[in-house]
Amino acid sequence: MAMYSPHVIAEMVDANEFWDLTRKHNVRGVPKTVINEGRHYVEGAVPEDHLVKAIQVVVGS
Amino acid sequence: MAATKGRCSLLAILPTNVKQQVEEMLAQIGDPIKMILVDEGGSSELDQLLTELDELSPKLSYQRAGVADADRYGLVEESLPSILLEGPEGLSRARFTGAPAGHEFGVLIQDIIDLSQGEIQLSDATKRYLESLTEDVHLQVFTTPT
Repeated sequence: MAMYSPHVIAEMVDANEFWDLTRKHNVRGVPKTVINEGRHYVEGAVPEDHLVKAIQVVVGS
Repeated sequence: MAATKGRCSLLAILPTNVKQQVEEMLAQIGDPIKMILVDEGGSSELDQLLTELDELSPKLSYQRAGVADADRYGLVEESLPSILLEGPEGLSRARFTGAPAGHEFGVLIQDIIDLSQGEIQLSDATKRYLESLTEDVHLQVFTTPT
């Protein structure tokens, strides 16, 4: 998504190395996707449309 | 010892069989891609990994930048080390915070290939939604090496 839209930044974060972030977002299982610094979360690997719906929760349709 | 562009490493990060597989995958690279490591400098496995990757394709290059350059790449010091990719249209907005180990290494390789080919593997519906975005979206996918 980040390669397609100039509005999206996608970051893959090593949970073991960035403990502060991991604790901040209560990452207990991976993958866990944090949207806009914690405004919404997606647990696990999800289909593309599920992620889109999660983004819509944060920034709308 | 393996002589790598003027450096010697006693132990390669990538096993030989993995290097061969990765080299075959990287043959798919279209436009040249630059990997940029932004970190605090010094000896690091991440530096060695990217140096080894760099050697597997003539269309791949590698640059290391320091903490002083973090701001220029839109990064904060707390998110270092970070790996960025630069393609024909500039810096990609997909990046790696920390080491891309395990499954994430495959994601790095695929991102390099996709960026070089301009391949966007998204559904038409997702593309339409992304085109409608007016606000910024920051996705952080937390993973662990497997």
